[in-house]
Amino acid sequence: MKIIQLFKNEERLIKKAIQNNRDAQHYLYNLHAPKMLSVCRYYIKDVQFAEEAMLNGFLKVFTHLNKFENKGSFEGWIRRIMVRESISFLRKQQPIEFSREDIEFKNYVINSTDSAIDVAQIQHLIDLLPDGYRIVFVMYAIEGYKHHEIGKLLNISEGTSKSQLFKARRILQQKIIKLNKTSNGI
Amino acid sequence: MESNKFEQDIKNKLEKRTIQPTANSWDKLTRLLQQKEHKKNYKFLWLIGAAASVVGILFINSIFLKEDIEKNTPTIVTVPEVFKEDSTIKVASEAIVNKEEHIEKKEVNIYKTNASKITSKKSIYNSINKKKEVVKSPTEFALNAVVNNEEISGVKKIENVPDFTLENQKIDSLISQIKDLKVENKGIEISEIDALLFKAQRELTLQKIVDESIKTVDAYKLLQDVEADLDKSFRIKVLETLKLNYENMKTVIAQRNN
Repeated sequence: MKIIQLFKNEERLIKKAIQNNRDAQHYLYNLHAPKMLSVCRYYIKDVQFAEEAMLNGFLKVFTHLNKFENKGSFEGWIRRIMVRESISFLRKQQPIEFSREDIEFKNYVINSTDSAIDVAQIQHLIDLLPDGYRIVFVMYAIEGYKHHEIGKLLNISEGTSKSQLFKARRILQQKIIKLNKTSNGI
Repeated sequence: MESNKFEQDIKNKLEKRTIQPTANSWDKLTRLLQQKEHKKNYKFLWLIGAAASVVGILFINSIFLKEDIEKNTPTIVTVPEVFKEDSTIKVASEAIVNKEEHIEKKEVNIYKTNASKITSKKSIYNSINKKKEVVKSPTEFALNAVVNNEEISGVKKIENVPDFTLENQKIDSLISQIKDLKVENKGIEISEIDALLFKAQRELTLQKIVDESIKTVDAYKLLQDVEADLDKSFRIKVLETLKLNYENMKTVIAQRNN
């Protein structure tokens, strides 16, 4: 009952936000901004820059809100905008480099028996990855994009996307081992 | 599967995370939204302005095109048949009319001296008409010549047109000479008349040469030359007049003697 009420409220809010109702827009912003800032933070190391990207993303959300067809989830629609905005933000700062070598790689497995690794550590490990690796890894492993979708969005080949993921995983494995060693006091 | 498990684990952990934006982030966004709306309005106004200007240009164009079409359509201009005479032409025509009257008067005077007015009326009128014709045609030429001369040399007045006084004087003197001869000899020979005429013509040509020596181009004289070429020669004309007069005189004298 509550879910239906919320859905109805969101639909009404979106309609009002389309008519440039600031209160409705503010409400929607407060509802989705914390999650969206977290999403932007996956890609952008600095929180302030991530917030800047997020604000640009919300600007696009509110200006193109009439294009949203209530078919999928509103959060998913905003999220896609945020991902694109984060990538374009990184591109504006400096061109993202992707190694073009389509190397033969096996499905790399990250061996981590330690499940006590917290979110901050995970984010730290991700931040240590080069931009190209990080973007592909986050898009594939966390956002759930397919390689062909990543290739389209980043204007790279599917093979390049796969190789970027392979390298990212390998680096992450090394970092986790290192992290485990330091946490265990070895 | 191991990797998937690890990735799934970090995904779940990251998905739960939320980061609170800064307190003034909404204000920033509001400012950005306002700027965007202003730009939108400006764009809208600009579009309206552009559309209005295009419509205006099209409207003006259509007006000009209409005018051009109206201008390009040929207009039928009816030229009035009767044209007003110029003042100079009027002066010239008056002068010519006066001259004609003068000639007529002279002719009439000549014929007044003749006694047989009733019988010779027709012939007199014929002669007068002939004279008129002779005079009229050069006057018409003179009119045009005067107008043309005005354009070329800037001469405005028609006063430059010479009179026929010299010729008329010659004719008068010739008639009087013939009369005298007739009174003296009671009969005139054609050879004598020819001699007199030849003399008169020579004097006239001499006078012309003198005029030419002064190097004044007289349009009227030039026209007269052309006229002389076109019509009968001066000599023949005078001869005919004299012959007629002589015949008239003869009949009058004969009637008086009877």
